[in-house]
Amino acid sequence: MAKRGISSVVASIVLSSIVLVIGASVWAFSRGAAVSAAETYVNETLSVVNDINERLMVENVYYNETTGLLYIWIFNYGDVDLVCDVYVFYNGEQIASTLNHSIDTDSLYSLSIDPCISLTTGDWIDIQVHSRRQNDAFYEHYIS
Amino acid sequence: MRFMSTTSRRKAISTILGTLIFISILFTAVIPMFLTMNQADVMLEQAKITAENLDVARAGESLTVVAFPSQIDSQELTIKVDNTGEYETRILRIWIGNSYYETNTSLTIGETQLLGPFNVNPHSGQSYQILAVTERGNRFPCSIGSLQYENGQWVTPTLGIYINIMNFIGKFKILYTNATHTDVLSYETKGIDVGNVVHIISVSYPGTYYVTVKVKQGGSWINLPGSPITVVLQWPNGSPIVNVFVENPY
Repeated sequence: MAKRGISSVVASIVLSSIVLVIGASVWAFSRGAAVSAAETYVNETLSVVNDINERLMVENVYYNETTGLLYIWIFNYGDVDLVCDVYVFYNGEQIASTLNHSIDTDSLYSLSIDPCISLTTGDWIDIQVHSRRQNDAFYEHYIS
Repeated sequence: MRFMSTTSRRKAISTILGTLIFISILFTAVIPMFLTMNQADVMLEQAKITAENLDVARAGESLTVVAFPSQIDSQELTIKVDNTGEYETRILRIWIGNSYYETNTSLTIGETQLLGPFNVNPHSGQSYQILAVTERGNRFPCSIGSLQYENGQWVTPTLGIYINIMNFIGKFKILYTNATHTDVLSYETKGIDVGNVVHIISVSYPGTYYVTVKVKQGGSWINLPGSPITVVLQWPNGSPIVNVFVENPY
């Protein structure tokens, strides 16, 4: 009686090939997913490290009554460059803002801003410097 | 005697291959991923420790800043800086009014340095706030307040002697007199003080003063070691305030 079907050797090769192909696919997918997960995790961790290492302060403020401009010096004494927005408050209300200032690490940055109102001697203003990493520096300035 | 069937052999080969694939996935994907994540965690912990250390060092910085002109009508100011903190401190900038001067001066613990003189070009009626800014992000204003320039002369808001008594517990009497003994003042602490005592004597004129600090011991007053202390208050060309330190060993 003639035997039908494929031989056991061919069947083994076919089965092994299928296992190898599926296994290689699973391996490639797993490796890709693992690399992607690791990269995401490392990037998020580095972002948190940068948040921790960011330091900024308002070093000095000067109001020029003649020009009506407010001069603000911001010192980045942290280990990372930063981008910040500056807000000026008078009597608790925001009167001026200036956005998107890049400050390199260990450098002093100066900016001028029009407070939109005329400030006089004896006035107090509050300055908030808000970094894009959600860190803040506050400064209270007396107009003398 | 048992024989392995053809189907069982095929299954065995597939099982071996499957195991090998699983192990390769473990070693080439999962373990490197966990190692990388672990390394990132270590980096984060290091950053936290470094940031904490920086904040502690920042809080431990302390400078006493005093500004004075070389002459009463001088165009220049000299800045005297005492490092009274717990860390070596680097001063990056000195601010006088709205102008700053890069200094990059390092002060060890307890060190005093004179910086400048800095050309101010003062305007009459203008007050000048003096600041020292450190690399750790601290700003230390002049301990005597702003200097005023009026009618072509510098005016200091304070002229005085700061008596600092290093004390555990005690009651003190402070006597001070000027060089000609025409101006004599006595001060007695209200009760028994626990901890260091600071007393400020405001004087009207610069010159030489003698300060005696006594401690009460068994109903009588005993001079503290070093008393009487000669204090020379020089203004201008010197600090308008002088710190005197005495220790109560009793």
